[in-house]
Amino acid sequence: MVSFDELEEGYEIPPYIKGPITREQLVEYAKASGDGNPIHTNEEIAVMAGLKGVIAHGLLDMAYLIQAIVNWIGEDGELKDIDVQFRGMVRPGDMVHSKARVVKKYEREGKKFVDLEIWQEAVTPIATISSSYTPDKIEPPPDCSVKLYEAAYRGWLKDGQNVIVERKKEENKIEHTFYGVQRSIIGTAKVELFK
Amino acid sequence: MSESKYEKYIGMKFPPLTFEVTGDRIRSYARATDDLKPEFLDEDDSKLVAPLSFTSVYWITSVVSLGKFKEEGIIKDVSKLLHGGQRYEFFRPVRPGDKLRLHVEVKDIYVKNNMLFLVYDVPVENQNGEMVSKVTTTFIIRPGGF
Repeated sequence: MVSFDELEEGYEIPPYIKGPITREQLVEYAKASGDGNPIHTNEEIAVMAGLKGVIAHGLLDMAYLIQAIVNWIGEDGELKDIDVQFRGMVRPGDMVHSKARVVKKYEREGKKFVDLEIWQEAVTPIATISSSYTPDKIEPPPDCSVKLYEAAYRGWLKDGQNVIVERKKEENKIEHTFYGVQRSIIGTAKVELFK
Repeated sequence: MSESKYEKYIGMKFPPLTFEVTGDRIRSYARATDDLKPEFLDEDDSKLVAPLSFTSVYWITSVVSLGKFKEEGIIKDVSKLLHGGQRYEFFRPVRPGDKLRLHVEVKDIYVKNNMLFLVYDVPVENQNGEMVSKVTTTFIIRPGGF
């Protein structure tokens, strides 16, 4: 339950993860939403428009952010206002992480409101490498991480984007997956809480 | 100097647009956005309600208003157009059978950082004259497109 009294400024809602985005899904969204702009569905046209291939609809990404907030509040409140800026492109293959943090809570005319800072991260898998796992050495060799860092710049990432590494141990192997992370949406939202 | 060319458009209103909500539109939208709550998918239209983000579906009809700026030579190359931002204020739920009226108004138009910003307000009312939502959209036209 989300309760006004218990909610603290700085609280971050549970991350809401969708994806990976697929081309089929963009075609389906284009039909369902009525947004026929071909940069979302046609590779050739997207490239001609100066993109590196089709990109997801900003409003699809925004829909995920709305779901993240609505699913968090459940029956305990209502989303009243959401204001976003589209800052980065989301592409097929990306995971989309929607996030929100409480910045202010206040009462007005007998109603309880919470202001949220909201954002979305597009997480792009760049490369996965496997190496033999030995318990005393689980870090990838240094030269290897340099190579993967270069791979991050295959035209998919811009300056200032972060690279995160996820390590998975499986039997006698360890898998290192490198992801590029960028903020695709930033914004604010206002929620009314009933309790 | 160049600002005055745009100022006259601020406050301009377009003829209202209409959008009739159907159960099929709601269900197919919920599936396409992977928003699979029973109230968004019910085969019985009388139990169906639209997800909040369905606002995007009726809002998109207002994009025709960009044609006016193309006609007037304000926008020269539509491929330079970016969707910069979107704001939704929600007032009432939307259900099948609702006949929505969209009132498109130019809220602001200005040049900043060598790009043209076009801001629309779109208040939306239902068949009972009740406010359903208000959408504010920012389009950005990149250099060379205006």
